[in-house]
Amino acid sequence: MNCTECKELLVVYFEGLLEDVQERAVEEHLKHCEACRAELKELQTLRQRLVHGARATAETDLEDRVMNRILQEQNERLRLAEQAGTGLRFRRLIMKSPLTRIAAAVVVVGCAIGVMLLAGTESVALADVLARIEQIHAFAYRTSMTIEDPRTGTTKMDGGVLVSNEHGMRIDQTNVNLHEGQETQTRLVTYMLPREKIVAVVNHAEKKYARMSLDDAMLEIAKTQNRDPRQMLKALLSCDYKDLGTSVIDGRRVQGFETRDPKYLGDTRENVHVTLWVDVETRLPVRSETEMQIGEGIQFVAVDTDYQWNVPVDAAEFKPDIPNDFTADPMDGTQMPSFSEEGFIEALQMAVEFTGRYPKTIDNEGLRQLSMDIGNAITTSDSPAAQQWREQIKSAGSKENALRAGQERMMKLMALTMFNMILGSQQRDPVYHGDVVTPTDVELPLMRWKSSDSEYRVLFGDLRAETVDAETLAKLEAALPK
Amino acid sequence: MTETDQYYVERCLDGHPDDFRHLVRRYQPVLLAHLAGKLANRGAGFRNVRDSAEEAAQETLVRAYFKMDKLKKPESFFPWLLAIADNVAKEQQRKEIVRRRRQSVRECCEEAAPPELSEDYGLEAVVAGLPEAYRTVILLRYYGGQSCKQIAEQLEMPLGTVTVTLSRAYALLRSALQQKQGDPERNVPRPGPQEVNEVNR
Repeated sequence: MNCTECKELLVVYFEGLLEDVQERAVEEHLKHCEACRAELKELQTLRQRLVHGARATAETDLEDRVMNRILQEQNERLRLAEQAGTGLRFRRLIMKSPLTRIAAAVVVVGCAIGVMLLAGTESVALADVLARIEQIHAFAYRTSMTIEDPRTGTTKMDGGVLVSNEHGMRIDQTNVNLHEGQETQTRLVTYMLPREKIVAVVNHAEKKYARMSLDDAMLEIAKTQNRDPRQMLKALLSCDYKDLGTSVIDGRRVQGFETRDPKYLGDTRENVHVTLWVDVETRLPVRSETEMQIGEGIQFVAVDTDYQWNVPVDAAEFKPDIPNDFTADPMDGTQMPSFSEEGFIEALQMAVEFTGRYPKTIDNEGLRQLSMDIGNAITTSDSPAAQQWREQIKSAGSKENALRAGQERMMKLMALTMFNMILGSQQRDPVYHGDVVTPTDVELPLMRWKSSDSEYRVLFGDLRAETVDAETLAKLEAALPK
Repeated sequence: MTETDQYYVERCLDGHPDDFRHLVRRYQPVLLAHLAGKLANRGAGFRNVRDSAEEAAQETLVRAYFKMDKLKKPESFFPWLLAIADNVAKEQQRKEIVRRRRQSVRECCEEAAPPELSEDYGLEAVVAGLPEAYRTVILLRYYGGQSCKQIAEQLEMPLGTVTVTLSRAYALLRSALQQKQGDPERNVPRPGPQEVNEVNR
């Protein structure tokens, strides 16, 4: 046996895996060869190091820790699965209040409108239509909406809308919700009153009412909600839209316009398809159709018809009509959440307190997920916020009070989508990074939007806000992972 | 503890989560060594390699448990586990980089201190840098405490291939360790194609 042969067998040799003949040959060679002996020694030292290293890592005992974590997580998952029910129940509880329903409608509808301020246009026809409507001081139309949500069933809303430049807006609607074979009917009258800065809702099915105050930001939304044709036109004009040519509706010659431009919703991510038919003679809208998908699987369709222009308006129609035997809803007298920077920060703060992180997105789907997570956290989490909430529920005295406090807090979350949407509609370039930024990322930008032509407002991972120039912003965003 | 990985994987999938314990026991030192090596390598600059590796090993095992239904070949539990570990290690490194970047922004003009290679896990770092076939055999043999025969059975290769791979792994380890002494930044040399072929038979 020569040295090369021997060296190749050394590892196998000390592993004790050589056949007898070979083993003897290696041993014989080693007796006479100092170089191979040195090599063997070196290999054995290395082996010793490996064994030593192995001993050090073997000292660990992950077993119990891993098994505990698995059990915990398994239970959590089971509980969540069981509680997909509870989460939903909780959500339904929230959705049950007529007020929140209206608030939810504000989200949906505000989203449909996407408040865009008109900035120049090449289109003669549509701009012309807008100019015509802007001279109108009051108008009315019929509206019918269908919202299909796999989680809450199908809701159909039919109603009439009266809009007055002077007094505000009044919506008379009947909602029918069909969910799991159960039909619920609600008749609501909603008043948006900009002068008083309130929204009032009268629920004729439950004989309840509530008046809630609005701040200026919310008023802006309220003004533009419910597919006010003026806002629809402004939005259409700032989008890519298509002229559909002429057609006939109710014996009148009409011209159609259509858009699928996501800008219509201020670049929130929902698919949108809007069609507007305008009377060729009067240059006033005759019919509008709004279709969109919200988050996962919610389908929203609205059709507005029977527009009447410059209708006579009686101030009394805008005075909330509350029959004597109606009682105040727990939400009566509360403040609608603020959709300002402060409100937005407060909502994010709440997300962190309950879930320990920021929502991945702040569109409607993100909001839905967050309210479910918070709903679950309230019942299962040991976080101080959840414990405090549970204490509050216990000490609220009555179910009503607990519900009211809960609702008021949950509604604050709406600032997440609304604030973002308002910024989007004002083309202030909002970008949210909650998918990668955590509450400990104090130097990373969680959200930013334009505060002036040359400056951006930046909200960092720790929710501190600063105003920076575009160059600084670019540096900050370059540091984001991915 | 003598049952195969496949047996325990199937037991877990059949609704006996406690049997995962056996797999944890079997692979925790291997995982820890592998992760310590990974994290000590590449100048990741972890303050405490041991803690980070333990955390990563825990995370890896928990993830493996909950993803087990996605494991197509239950007999390949170990390579699959290492792949998860690699992902976890990468995520940790990314987080660490972000953390340090933040820190260096805070420290402004000051140059970020060069990451220190962990002395404690120098050997594991070199092992983690070995090509997969060699790494697997070293990890299983020493950190997993398996005999060459057991490794041959588990990896479904002839005993001869295992011993050849082991010998080669020693050679690679030695030269890598020597190089590291001279130049701590250098990585383990990749073997030529014929060597890889040899391992793959």
